[in-house]
Amino acid sequence: MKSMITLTINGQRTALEVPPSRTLLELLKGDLHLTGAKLGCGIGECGTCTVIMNGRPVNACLVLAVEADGSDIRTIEGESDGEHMSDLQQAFIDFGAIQCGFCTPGMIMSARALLMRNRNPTRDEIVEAIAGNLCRCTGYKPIIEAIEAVARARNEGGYKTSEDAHAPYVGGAAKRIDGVEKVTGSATFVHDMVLPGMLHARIKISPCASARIVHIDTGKAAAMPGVKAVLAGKDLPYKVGLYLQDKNILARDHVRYQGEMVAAVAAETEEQARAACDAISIQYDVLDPVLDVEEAFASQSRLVHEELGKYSWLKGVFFPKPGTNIAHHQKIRKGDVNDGFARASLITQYEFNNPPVQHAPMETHTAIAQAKPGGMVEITTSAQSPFTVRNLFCHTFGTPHSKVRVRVPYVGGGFGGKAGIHLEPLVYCLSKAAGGRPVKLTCRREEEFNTLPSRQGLHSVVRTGVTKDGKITALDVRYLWDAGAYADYGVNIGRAAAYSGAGPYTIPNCSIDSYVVYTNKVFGTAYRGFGHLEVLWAIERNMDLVAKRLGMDPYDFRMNNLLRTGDTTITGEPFTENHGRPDKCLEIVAKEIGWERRWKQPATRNASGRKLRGVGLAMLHKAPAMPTFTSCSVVIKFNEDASVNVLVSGVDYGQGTYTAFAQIAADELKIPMEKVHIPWDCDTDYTPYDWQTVASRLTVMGGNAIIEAARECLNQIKQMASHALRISPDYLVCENSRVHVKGQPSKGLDYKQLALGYTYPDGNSIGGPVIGHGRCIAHGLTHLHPETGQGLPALDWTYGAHAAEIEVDAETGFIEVLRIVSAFDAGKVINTQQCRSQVIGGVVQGLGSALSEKFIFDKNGCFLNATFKDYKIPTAKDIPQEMRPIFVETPYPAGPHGARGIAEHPMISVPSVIGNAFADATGIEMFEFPLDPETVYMALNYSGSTASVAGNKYVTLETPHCGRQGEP
Amino acid sequence: MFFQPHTIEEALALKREHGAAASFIAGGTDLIVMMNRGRCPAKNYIDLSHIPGLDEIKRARNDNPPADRMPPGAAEIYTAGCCATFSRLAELPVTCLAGAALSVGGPQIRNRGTIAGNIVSASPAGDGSTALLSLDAALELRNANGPRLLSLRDFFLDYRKTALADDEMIVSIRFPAAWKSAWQKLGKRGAMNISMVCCSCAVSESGRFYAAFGSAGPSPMKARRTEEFLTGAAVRTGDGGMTLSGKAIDEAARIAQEEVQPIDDFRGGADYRRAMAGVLLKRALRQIIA
Ligand code: FES
Ligand code: FES
Repeated sequence: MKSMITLTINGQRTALEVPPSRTLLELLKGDLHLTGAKLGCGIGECGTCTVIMNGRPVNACLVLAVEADGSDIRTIEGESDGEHMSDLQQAFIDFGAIQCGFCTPGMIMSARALLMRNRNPTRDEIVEAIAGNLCRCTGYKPIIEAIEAVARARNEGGYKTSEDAHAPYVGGAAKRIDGVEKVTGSATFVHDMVLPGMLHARIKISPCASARIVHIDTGKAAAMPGVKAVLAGKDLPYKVGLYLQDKNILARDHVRYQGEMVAAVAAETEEQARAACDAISIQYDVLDPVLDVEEAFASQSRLVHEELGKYSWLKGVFFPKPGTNIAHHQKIRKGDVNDGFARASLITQYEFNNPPVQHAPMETHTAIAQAKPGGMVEITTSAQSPFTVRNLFCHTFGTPHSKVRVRVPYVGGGFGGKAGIHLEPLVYCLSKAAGGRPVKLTCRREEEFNTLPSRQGLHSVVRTGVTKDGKITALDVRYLWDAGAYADYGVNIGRAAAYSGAGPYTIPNCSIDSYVVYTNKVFGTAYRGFGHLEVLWAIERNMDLVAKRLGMDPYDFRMNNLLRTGDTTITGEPFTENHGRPDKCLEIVAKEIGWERRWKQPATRNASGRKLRGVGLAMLHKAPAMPTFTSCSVVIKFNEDASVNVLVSGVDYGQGTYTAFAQIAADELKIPMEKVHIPWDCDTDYTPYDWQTVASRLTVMGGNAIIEAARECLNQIKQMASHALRISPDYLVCENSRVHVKGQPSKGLDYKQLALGYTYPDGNSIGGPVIGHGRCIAHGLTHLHPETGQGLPALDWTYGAHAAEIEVDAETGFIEVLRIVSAFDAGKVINTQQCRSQVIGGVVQGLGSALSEKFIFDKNGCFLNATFKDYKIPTAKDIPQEMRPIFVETPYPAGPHGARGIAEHPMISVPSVIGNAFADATGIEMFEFPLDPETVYMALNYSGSTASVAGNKYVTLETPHCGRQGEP
Repeated sequence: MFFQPHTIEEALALKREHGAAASFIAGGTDLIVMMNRGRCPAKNYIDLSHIPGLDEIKRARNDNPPADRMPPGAAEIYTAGCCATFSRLAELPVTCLAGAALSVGGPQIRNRGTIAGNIVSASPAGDGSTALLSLDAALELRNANGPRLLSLRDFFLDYRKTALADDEMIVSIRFPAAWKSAWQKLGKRGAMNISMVCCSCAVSESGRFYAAFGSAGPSPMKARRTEEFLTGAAVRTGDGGMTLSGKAIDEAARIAQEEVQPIDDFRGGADYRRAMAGVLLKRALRQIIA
């Protein structure tokens, strides 16, 4: 049964026939091709689908089209004509209120609805208006500022954009080059894409954490209407994995976590695929799951992977231990810890924990694949790294690389969760089974939580030896990573976080054992900071605890031990003046938060004694974790009018790298930034190789490659000009889109005259189209020694520090973050606005980890909080009153203009600084995050001196004790 | 089947015909979520959005004949149609209900979610239901044979069980317009929260106290013993308002903590919820007597 409805959409009346179950969002995106509104959850919990209905914002996913009959609907497409931006659109661009752009259309609609009803909204009203719109990237602050600017300007003749025409590109505040596409809703994400003949896929997931698959019956599903392909594990004899091939495309014989994909269907419609999935019957023999990481670490009988010894892995870099649950053991040995402890006057030992969490990008994983005739494969995917998808795909299926094309358009956030390869192999197999029709699989939000990978949990034990005057003599750490069911990036996190695993300090004697341990939980992968947020929770909490045991100011204790020129890191890397200034970062944030005054005075309470205030400090550091041979390349092509296209394969999934690239290219080529175009689609068929977009390495490596490519272009230009002008190229300079003789600006040629080659007045031509390429490879890195971990693993280190002031409501346990000040040694800030946005967004994401986010499993290992309702990422109402990013610029000589990576760093150590401030406010030491209200309340009310509070525990050993715990 | 009646009578006729196999749908904020998950609660839907007037809210003197005068303690009442949205309720000068409405979801949900939807779902965490319980609200229920009035305090029977018959609908809700009241809710973050615990309090013109809690039992619950204690302990002030001593507030919180029956689940521990029921009650009471 269908009903006739009439809607007025963006001023146009439209009559449509719709089935009763169709939502307004499906109608807009599917039937009317208005793809600006986004599907982030489908159940009213994210606001990405917001449209204005009869003057009020609504979630289009929660309105049935038939209910909307007769309504007036306004979508992002009605916000402007696409050429002249509306005030809100322009302000979003101007204020850096956009990163990945997936939340942007909904956010602008909510803001518009507010401004339609309220001429003069207060800041609180603005925050309230967007509190139903989640954004994982920006930290909301720039969004609030943009809306506020528009509201204020209304009484002064309307919002006007401003541009500092004289600001240099590099070091200026250039606006995002993808701003217009994103604020108009025209940026096309894989989520929005439909191909001719495309089928829709759905997956069936495991209901239990550990089980033997006894029987799968797909017969009934295969016969259902619209179904074109049904697959189960037995049909797919392939192993996948990044460093350790331990995973099947669909579970075969065993399921190892609740949520694991067991079967999949491709059908004409999504409903048909879903119905068919429901009709697949699976018989499980349920096993007792291994859930506790310490138990898993110790066990040799209850194994998540019985076959570990038979898998293949990257030898010499990773060290799995067959017969155990250990997927990798990374050792770091420097000096002699026994000796170091013997020289200590105080030895402490503390244990720390943190749970697995999720990236929660607003766009869930999605991929379209087609198995074409002749063995060609086309994949369009929401991934961070097209070449890695291609490479791993080819490894799995033995396909020649040249036959596989991977395309990545706009990506709605990733944060590491879309690195590597995830849905692509399955979708390809479905397409093949369906006779080569393209197939699309978009994860539902629950699946994003439950099936796709997470950030690993970590259990740390930290023993520290210190002298009376506060010098660390020895550090002995054991990290147990709760990797979940598969290794994925987990093993490399265990490796990378180990070589950073002592914090930015000089440790003369250091021993670190980092074990990546399988358990029957959803598996872990890279997440912004790659293990560093977790490790630095332990290390930076430990620094405070040890300082207090010494009776020392934690600031002084850190200053005493920070890495300085002439020191060596724990892997033996000399720390030079080019490494940056961790001490300066600490000094700055301490000063900004008023540390000296605050630390000496006891924690303050408000008049009623219910609110406790405290301050904290925490350091951070991180280097890109990548293979020693990591490389990338860039091509710059001149167009007829001397504009350029810059071809890259590193993905800008919101972090703003392309804008930095455009700045660097314009600066180097001496052309206006508007003349630099960076095509958004990365395409392995057309754009040049880049390893991966991870680890905050893209601006550094890609930036270098751009400079090299630009210089090659200029060389070609000068070569041609030298003939035409009859002068050696050495006497030529480039400026303002022109090449001319030094000191004689009038004697020269416009780039335009040379872009395709130079033609003399008589028609003779020389040269040819200008095209330059640039490359960059990590130089001089080495593998780590298998026994000692000594070596040079890291391209560049970025150091930083946070200081925070918080207020704890002692009655409820609610923590409010009042201020957070963050300093980073960025080497060189390429774009001031975007660095600020990165920091604010990262800090707020870190606060999610610190205060509310965690996976909750029941005793059988089933995942309980797979929705935005129960997995609480920060909303616009959860941001600190004040966030202040500060940048130190100690140039990194091998970086473009001296720049270092900075994308991940803002998030790292945010839980640590909150934990430290909490101890200052309340006198209670927490050993596990998140510090959610209940945990805090319980700690405040039920903790003794060595209490165990909601899983938090600590031990303190007074006597030197060098035996290691639980060494297998 | 999806029906779109244009009058209440048509809607009730359909409901009589289909009974439990049909579900009313208005804002859809609960039902569409279930559909999205593939758990369709009913075979048939009766859409109320095309019946005019169901979203209206009216204020009037409570001068119905005594049998019909509900809530009995209110001189002036609001009558809110079943499809009144949270956004509308948030604008009313009834502190607890407006506060509860404003604490539901984000603006988008408040613009669609309806008060009757909140009540019939009988969710233990229902913010609107909790506020209305503390207002001693009354429901006008109707089936094809005619209407009946029922106190909301007799409506919730058990976990997700209500006194609504299969052929009935909630047509409107009546609640006092001028009682002093207060709303307190605790969630894990600033917005888009389901209550860990919520507490609503009100005091009638005659000085009777009402208190209700959400997420503190199998359904939104009225705290009878707490109410009785408060009503007995309160003292009338010179300006005609009511006041409570600090000791009385503490004692009320203690009684409430005994009275609530929260569960232990992944959203929150019973001990914590119980403790917070006391804290929120104290805060609400201080607001009322301020
Ligand atoms: S998609 Fe509609 S609220 Fe998330
Ligand atoms: S910019 Fe808001 S979710 Fe990415």
